[in-house]
Amino acid sequence: MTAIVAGLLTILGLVILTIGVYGVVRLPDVYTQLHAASKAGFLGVAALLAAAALQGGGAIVARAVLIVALLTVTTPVAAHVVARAAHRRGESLRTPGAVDES
Amino acid sequence: MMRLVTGAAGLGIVYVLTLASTDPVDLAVGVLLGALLIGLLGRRMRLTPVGHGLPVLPRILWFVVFGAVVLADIVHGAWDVALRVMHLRPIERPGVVRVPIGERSERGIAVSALATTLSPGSVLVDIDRAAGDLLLHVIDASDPDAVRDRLQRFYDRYQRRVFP
Amino acid sequence: MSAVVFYSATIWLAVLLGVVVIFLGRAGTTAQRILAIDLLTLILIGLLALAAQRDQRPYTLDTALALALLSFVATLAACRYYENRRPFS
Repeated sequence: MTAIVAGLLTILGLVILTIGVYGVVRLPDVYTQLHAASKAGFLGVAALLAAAALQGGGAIVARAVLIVALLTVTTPVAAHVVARAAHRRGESLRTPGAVDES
Repeated sequence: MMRLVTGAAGLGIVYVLTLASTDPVDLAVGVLLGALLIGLLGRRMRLTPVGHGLPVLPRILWFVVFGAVVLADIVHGAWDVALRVMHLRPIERPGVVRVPIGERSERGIAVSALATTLSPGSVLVDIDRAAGDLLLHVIDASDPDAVRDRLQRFYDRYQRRVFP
Repeated sequence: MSAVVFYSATIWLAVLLGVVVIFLGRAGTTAQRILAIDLLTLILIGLLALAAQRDQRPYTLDTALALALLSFVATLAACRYYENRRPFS
């Protein structure tokens, strides 16, 4: 039973990661790519870690919890820092019809 | 003092999780190391004092509600962004929107920024202190006023009672 | 987990790694490159989680933990350098 759930979680993680990578390749500028990359990457990795924690012993569960907690704090900060650097260096919004109130 | 104790306990738990051991000696060593680190470095990392005077118990209860709302926001945003990436919903007008800071304290700004950036579909780009605005990049900025309303409602309903 | 799922998942993640590396080479701006490197380490953490799930060895996740910490600091330093032209202001 847990093996099936773990397999499903693994496949879910792969699907989310694939959508993230596809979004990065397809979208036109850094700001929109950030939506796909860091958040989808984080969710996909969290699903893969959950699959590992389901089947593993206490040591694996402890580390998986720690990594997910760490990523929850660091991914938004990393995304914000990339966006701020791009904005302050004047990288433009390349999507047609973009709204800019800055 | 409160800060030292809670910080040391948190760092001790991180230490135990990294070692994945249930030995009380390890926990003691971790808490000791955490207290040492906070005693040495804590002063440098202090935000401006909060001074909200919220009662502790309702704050904990509201924190649970707050966490659940953020989680629901993450799931909803992930679904929306996934549909947009897979060509099922159009990406017409992404863009940078100004959201007023309002009554948020320094810590309130940090928590708001973390919550909005964690959910897919919105990223904090910069803070304009002079104008008192947060600059957010959202994936659907066709109606900037709706974005401002949504954040203000989120703050009024949930965040104000936990992190003002 | 069955061997079929494990091997196909590993190969698929390796393909994704390759795609991101190609994107890294063709990216237009510096911020996009930093973003691609961040995504690369996230996929590597995913691969390590798969390996830990198969081998049942917790040490693999130690590597993932160190990688997550390192990539965060690396992203911060790279962005600061890009923004200010020096890593520490």
